[in-house]
Amino acid sequence: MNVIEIRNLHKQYGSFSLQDVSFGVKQGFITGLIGPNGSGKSTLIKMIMNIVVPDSGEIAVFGQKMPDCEKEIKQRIAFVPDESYYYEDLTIAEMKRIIAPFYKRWSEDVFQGYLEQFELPANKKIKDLSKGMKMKFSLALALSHETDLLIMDEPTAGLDPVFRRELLDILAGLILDEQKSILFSTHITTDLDRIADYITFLNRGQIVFSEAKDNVLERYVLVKGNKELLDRDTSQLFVGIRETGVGFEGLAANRSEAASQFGAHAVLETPSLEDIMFFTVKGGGIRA
Amino acid sequence: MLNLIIKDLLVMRKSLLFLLMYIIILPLSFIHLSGGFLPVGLFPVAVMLMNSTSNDLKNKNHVLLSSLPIRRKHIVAAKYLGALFYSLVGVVIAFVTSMVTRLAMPQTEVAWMSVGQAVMLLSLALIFSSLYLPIFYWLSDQGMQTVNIVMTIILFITLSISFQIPVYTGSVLLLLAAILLFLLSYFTAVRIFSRKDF
Repeated sequence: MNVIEIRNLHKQYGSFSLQDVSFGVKQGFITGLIGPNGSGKSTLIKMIMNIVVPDSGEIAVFGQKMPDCEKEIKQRIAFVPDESYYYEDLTIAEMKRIIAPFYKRWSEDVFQGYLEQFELPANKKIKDLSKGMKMKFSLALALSHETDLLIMDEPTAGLDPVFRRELLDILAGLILDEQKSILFSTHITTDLDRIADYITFLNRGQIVFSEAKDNVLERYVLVKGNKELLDRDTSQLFVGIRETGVGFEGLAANRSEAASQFGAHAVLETPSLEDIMFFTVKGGGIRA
Repeated sequence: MLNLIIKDLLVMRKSLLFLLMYIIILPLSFIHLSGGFLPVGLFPVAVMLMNSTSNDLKNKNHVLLSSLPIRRKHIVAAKYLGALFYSLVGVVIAFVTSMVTRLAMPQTEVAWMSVGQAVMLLSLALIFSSLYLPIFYWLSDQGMQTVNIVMTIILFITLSISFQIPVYTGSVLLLLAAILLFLLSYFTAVRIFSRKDF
């Protein structure tokens, strides 16, 4: 069952556009949306939340259409944006007093629990919070009403490694009941290595792939070998190639094909998500 | 939706001191004018409205508001109800000022405030809000500078027009026209706001 279903989404922003984006986010799993800066991740997430209005296409969350049913849908979504958009002059407690009444299933105890866990003083002004603390506050607000879907836009950007790992642990813990789903966007691929079940890769406004992480890592292969192995035909096999001093490195999207072509003459390795992102984005040959 | 109005008031609390300054100094300056109740009543309305809209822009709150479980048209409706509330507050301020002046300085010939004048003040406040809010929603991307300049121009136009309208004639008609304009303005603002990206 897809908790989010996106069909043929288009959005034009001056010179940038999201073109014909279609994918689904599976219920009960963590889906990571990756892509380089400017690929359209934030825009896509904002369109799901109806913060940005798409030019055309359909978005359905919990089987209901956005934006028609946006009020009911958003009651069940916990949203953590990429930046803090709160009234800077208010304190944490005052900001909560503004936001909490909107949610029917708000739990004050849970909120206070998170304030304690994240060590956030309730009477501190939002403008006096550090970036990490603002993110923690966003998270506390988002998690304090009962939700079925958590959507986060670049949650780990700018966080110290200690809290990043804590955050990932919190996310992994939330998923355990198999009812909740999580979608988060990031360009830090190591986060996804750690906890994502499904990966959707967005590049220049288009979906490169949207599938299970294990599938992706099995399908792609990194080929390392001598330059002589490269000719016009074999180069076609690669998504991206990088020439090094001692030879070349290439990412191929089809492991079995690559194995049959190069198996004996080159080294084949399982790429990391970072490799996949790097080579796909760069495409073509690059000097080391 | 009520939550949003409460939010605007909560946020305004922070700038209350500054607002009070306007509310106290202005009446003292305009007390002797026969049409003096107009700036005394209108300026607080403009200041409160400007304050609440600039607070939204300052913190890019529209992103936050759009992420909450509330329809966009209700976000706009809350702003308009706020404007209505400020307009009523403006009338009250003008009334209180006139009472206080009459009691404290009986030698001053303060001819206001009659019901006709209160109705006229209310109408003008509504007209001002009706002009201001759609422009705010339309130009909010350009930042507060542009919106404030436009607002100040509108305020002075409204004031200069109103100084030329005789006070007692057609008050009720003016109020009805103002209410109509207010509603029209609301629907326009909803259309503008519903299509915006944040």
